[in-house]
Amino acid sequence: VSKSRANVNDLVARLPLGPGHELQEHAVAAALNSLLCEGRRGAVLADEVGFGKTYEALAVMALLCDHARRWRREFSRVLVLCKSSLLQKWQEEVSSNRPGAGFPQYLQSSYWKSHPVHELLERVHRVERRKSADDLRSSGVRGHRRDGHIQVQPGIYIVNHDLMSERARATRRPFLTQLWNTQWDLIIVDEAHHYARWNRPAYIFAPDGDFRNYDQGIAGGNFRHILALTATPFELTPQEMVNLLALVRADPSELADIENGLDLYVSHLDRFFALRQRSPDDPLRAGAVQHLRRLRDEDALGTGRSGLGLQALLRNYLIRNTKSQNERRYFLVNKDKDAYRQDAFDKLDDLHQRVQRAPLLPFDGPDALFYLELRELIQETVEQAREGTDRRTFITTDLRQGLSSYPQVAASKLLQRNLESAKRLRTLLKSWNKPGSLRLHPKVRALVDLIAAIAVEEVNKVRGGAGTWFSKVLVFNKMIEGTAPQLREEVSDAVGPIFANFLAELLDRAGLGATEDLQTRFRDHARQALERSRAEMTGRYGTRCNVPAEFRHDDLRRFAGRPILDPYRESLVRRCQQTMFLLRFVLSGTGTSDEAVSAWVTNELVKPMEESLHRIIEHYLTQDAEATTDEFDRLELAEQEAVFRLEECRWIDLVGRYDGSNSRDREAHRRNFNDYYNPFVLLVSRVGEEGIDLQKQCRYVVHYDLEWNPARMEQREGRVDRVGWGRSGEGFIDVRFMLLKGTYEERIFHTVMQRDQWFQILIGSKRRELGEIKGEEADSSEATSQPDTDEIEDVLERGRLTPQEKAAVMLDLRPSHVSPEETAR
Amino acid sequence: MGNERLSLVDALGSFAPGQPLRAALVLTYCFDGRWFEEAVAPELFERPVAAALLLRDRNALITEAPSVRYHRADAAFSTRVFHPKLALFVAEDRARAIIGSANMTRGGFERNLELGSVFDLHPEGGSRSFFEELHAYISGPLRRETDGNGLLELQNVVVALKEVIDQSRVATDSSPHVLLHNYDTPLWEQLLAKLPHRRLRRAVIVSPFFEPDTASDSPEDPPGQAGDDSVFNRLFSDFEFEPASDEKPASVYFHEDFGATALPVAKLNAWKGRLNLHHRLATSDDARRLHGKMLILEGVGKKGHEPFLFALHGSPNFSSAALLTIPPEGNAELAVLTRLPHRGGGATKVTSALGLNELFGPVVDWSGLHTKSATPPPRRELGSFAVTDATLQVAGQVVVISVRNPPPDGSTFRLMAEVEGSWVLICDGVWGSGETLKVPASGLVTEDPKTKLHVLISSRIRLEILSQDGSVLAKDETPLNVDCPQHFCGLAMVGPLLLTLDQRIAQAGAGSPMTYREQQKWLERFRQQDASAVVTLSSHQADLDKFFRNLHTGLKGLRRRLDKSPGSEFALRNTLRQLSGWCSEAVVPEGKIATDECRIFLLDRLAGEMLTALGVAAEYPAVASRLPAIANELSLTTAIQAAQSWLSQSNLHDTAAYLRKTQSRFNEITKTLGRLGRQQ
Repeated sequence: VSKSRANVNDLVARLPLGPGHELQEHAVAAALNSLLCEGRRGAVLADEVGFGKTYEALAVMALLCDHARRWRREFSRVLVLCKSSLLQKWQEEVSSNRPGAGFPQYLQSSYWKSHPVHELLERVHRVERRKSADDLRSSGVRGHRRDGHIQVQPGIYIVNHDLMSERARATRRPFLTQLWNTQWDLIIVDEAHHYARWNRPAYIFAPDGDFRNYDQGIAGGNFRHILALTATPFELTPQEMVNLLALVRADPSELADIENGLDLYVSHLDRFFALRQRSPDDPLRAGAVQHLRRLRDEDALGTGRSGLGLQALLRNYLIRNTKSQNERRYFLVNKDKDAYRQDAFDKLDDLHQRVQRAPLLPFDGPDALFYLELRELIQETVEQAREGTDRRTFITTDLRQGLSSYPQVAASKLLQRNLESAKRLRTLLKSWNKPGSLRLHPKVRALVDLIAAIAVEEVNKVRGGAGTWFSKVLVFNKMIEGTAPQLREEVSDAVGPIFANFLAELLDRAGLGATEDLQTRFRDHARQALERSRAEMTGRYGTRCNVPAEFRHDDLRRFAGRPILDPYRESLVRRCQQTMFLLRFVLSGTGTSDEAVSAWVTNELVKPMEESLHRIIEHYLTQDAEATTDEFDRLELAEQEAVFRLEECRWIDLVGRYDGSNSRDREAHRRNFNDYYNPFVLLVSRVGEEGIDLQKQCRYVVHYDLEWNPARMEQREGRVDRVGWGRSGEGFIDVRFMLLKGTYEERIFHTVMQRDQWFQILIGSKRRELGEIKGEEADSSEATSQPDTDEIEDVLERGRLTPQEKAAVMLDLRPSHVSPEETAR
Repeated sequence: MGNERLSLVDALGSFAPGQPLRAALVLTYCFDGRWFEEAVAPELFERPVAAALLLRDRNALITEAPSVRYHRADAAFSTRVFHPKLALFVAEDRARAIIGSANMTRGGFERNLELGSVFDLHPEGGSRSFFEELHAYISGPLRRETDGNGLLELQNVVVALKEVIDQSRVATDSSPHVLLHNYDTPLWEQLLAKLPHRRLRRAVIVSPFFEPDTASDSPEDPPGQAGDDSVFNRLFSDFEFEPASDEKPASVYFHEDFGATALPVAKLNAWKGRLNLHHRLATSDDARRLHGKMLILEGVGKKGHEPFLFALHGSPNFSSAALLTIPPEGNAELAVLTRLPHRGGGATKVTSALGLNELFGPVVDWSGLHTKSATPPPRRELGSFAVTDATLQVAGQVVVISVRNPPPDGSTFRLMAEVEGSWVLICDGVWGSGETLKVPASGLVTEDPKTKLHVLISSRIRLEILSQDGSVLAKDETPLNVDCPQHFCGLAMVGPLLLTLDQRIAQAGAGSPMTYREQQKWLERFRQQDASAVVTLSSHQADLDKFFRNLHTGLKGLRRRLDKSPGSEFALRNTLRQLSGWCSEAVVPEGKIATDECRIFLLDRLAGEMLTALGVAAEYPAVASRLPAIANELSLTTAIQAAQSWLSQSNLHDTAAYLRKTQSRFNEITKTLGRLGRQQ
């Protein structure tokens, strides 16, 4: 069915995603245009992290359904494939049980009343394990024969992709086989990059290993449409992008062109990078840029004839919204003669030169001896593994531990090996980890100093500008479990006094006496206010405001049968004594009278608490609740909310942790990090690299260590650089890299950055740089006209891409609505 | 001879491709160092060479080598003429020897008419017995010719050759070739002893030089040896000639230049009826001078006598000095005696095979010839003062000098170096006793302030010994060598500049160092560039990590090589030599190792490797018994003591426990060596 583009726009107009979501609507339109007008079978929704790809995919689903209804076709079976940890998220997104949340909220208009899409949304099945497949089958969800095929019943099936693997299906569960054989109207593949590298999921679509063979895999390749969702269309090599397009059934001849075009582009980019040390005016360098621009815009295959450029070819299948609002600046942390210095760099610089010249964090003296010995130990272990005497091969982890902290290494199993170098290391560490003569790892030392410096800077900022507030610090360390206790202790020791002194200074100036006095006042006022609130609540709700006996969370169950405020009381009282809480009060300008304290306690502490408790009681613990929500769900939701509140009001130190070994407290730390008060610093392990929001108060991102995969690094920074950042016009997000000089980290850094440069250029994540050439152009011409006296700076500058060059070589895959000239063409 | 050219470079290039050389030994009379540097060294050092020694006659030096890449020494024992011409190359499992008439000069390998043979020994074939004789020669009498590091290098050659011989599966057969040297007995006597009888049909003599003519008033032969005995006289008196009818039994092929010749024409008139003279046709298109030497003896096979055909070739001319004397007063010679199959034709066939008849023409009228006697070589008294070896220890900037026969009443000394033709004083001091002298010699090395390139100012030094009143009692010159030749390209120390110690260790382990040609090219570029362009050379990424990886690669490669040839003395020597060399280099104060901690780590690993090597050696009694001697030759204890004293002085914070462990490793080495020494 061929439709004009205008019709697609009409279609999209029926499902507004709300103001501020135009980009998403454009993506939906582009996808539908591709599927309905160009007759393609699939598309890749490749928006950057945090853009709402899920919503886009569901909107495309709804609109496809609508389109099918108009043409009296069936659209009733949708398969969502994702990893098990995302099943819950998907189920929540399509659920209509959550007021004001989830995708169904967009289908409230009259147009969508009693639309067949609701039938779909009401029949959502989650298939998580083999057992749940069996359960579904026994509850009556079973396949039936249609048009000579076994099909599952209409509905949305959210399936753990591991169950579609050959091994899982070999267990001969009829329901899994039916899922496999159903000819789906739409398949949505989440985290699709896992399907494009030869990971296990890839075999769901290409069991024989050939992505170009479309007659195999799930449903024998007989599904109507497919949407692939990923924020990272490739992780390691651009070739993955081609696989991804094959996954969405790109037309074979177009696919071949894209593949060749990408190869060509990549090889010419290499050539261009090799010329980076020349001046931008150098004819060779300029020629390379010209050539790349031509490949990108006109002639992807370099045949000499004008045709489609690589960018246009990719856009046929790949739709990528990129963020533009926030600027990130990257810095290398350097320690030069005991003084710290941050050197800004651009990801497209010639980083080999930069890193070579930068002092970074020295890892010398006895630490160097430690490093050499650790390398030896690891090397010997690797060799033993190679010879078959040991199976251990995953070695860089151990090395990273060594680059993280000394207690981390000391706890490593590697050190218990019966090898000479292990003994040497034990000798060294034994004396260094002694509490009396503790020797800090240079990186720990550096982080402590770095954060202390930031704290001082922030204190000065707050001291100087009325209405400003502290910007917080996020530290990422993949290997944090062994390091975190030491880091937390050391950083607290360094940062604590800075804030405490600031508070004391303010109190002194205001003539309020010691901090302890203020704390006492706050404690008393808080107790009183809470007492009043409690009395009021019991008066109003009676026993309805008591903690239900069904609550299972430890911190709530203890209070079963008592008013629901009780579990919160002690932590609220303690909370109001936190340094940052008191600082905010003193700086608020409300005065320091008892009335002010009382008002502050009420407004900041008690009121919000009361409000949410009231909501819990009224929504969930009341008899008048909607009859459709059953008792069990209501209580569960009530408990969830109550626990959230509990986490939010928890007392926390200035330094918080978010990692695997504090899973009980980590939510409390995360939520408070997003608020005004403690913690000031959050130490985050790999657990926190994906999916969580940390953007509200944070400005500093510190990469304590590195991930091999640039996509993961992007994910880290994406915790902060997302919608909602930029509270007080701070300009840019400050990203710092802590690299130990001379060590393996330098190599990791270069590998990551090399990959990242492909990333930047091929799937351009920096729209800002594409959009703001004019302004920067003026700057840079000014800069080059000035005589350059500093030779080293000159060399570094030489490795840099000019804004014009960036504009000429970076691919822009945003949906074409955004750039009018594209639409015109 | 004929028109085939003997190319040393080809012989080298085709030998054991892909294998590093364990040893190279070159013996020569004349030596043209500049030519060698240009023509031979690049090919020789195209691959790693563990030991390279060149021995030459002290009086026949054409130019001194502008290079210390290989060890050079003047023959110390043969004070008159050190005449052997040998090039011996030893690889892992094979060896090649080139023995002939050619000196290491441009003439010898490019211009003259020379005669030589190439001998091979490899696991599947070759003349084992011949190489055993060669081994006996270099491990026996040749040792008298050198001292100090020269002797150490020679010992490396000996060990390397021994292992190749031991690896050979060829039976000790009766090779047609016999190696003859004259350290014990004159060649003539050995020759006579080898012949089945003394009845000759023919004798063919090819020689460019001869004994002096009677007319000459400077007798060639040293006094007290063979007197005025003439080798022509011996030829006609020791043998009985039974020529074929109408044939003169003896033919002489010689060189002449418009009638001037070394041939003692007047003397020969006595045997004119029995001699055919053939002179090199100076008018022919081929203008090469004759320098090849050969003596062919064809024995008669009648009356119960066994027919035979023997050829003697190599260094000896047909002169009494070469054939009738022994060193030190007489010549030192090296020759090959070959028993050829005696079939029809005999000596005639040999002469035609060598193409002598095309290159030479018969002399009809002897009167056109006149003898032009060569200037006799300078005479050196037996027991005179000689500097036999000088080796610069680069790391410590000390020259170790070996001398023989020092004057008993010397009181001070002066060390000088030859710079652009004049002698520059390097150092002076009080003369002690003994035959080894250690002199600080920082003045021998200059550092280019711009490029930081270290260059030796000279490759030749002179030692003078003075009496109390300041008069020179004795003086001698000698080539200057270094203890780490592989770091040098010509006189420039490229190694440490090009590569840091850890990188060199890595290369030694991986066995793929830069070739000489590459180094030369690099050096050329380096010198052309100005300093600013060069600064980036030695900085790297992930330096600390690289340092580790380099050490690891290098030491592992070394260990693997040692494991691959268990019980090999050569491998053990080589390993220990490298380890101790690095050890000394690591503790040099201005050494270019990043930090003291890196040094400790390096020393710790080196000590560990030494212990491993000693442990491996202890399992092979043959090698174990040699260990103390090897350790002594390599001055292992010196290196260890240097390391220990550095360790004991270094006072590094936070690493004390570690340091103790390293020290105990070194102590263990000392103990092990001591124990092995006592067991002897």
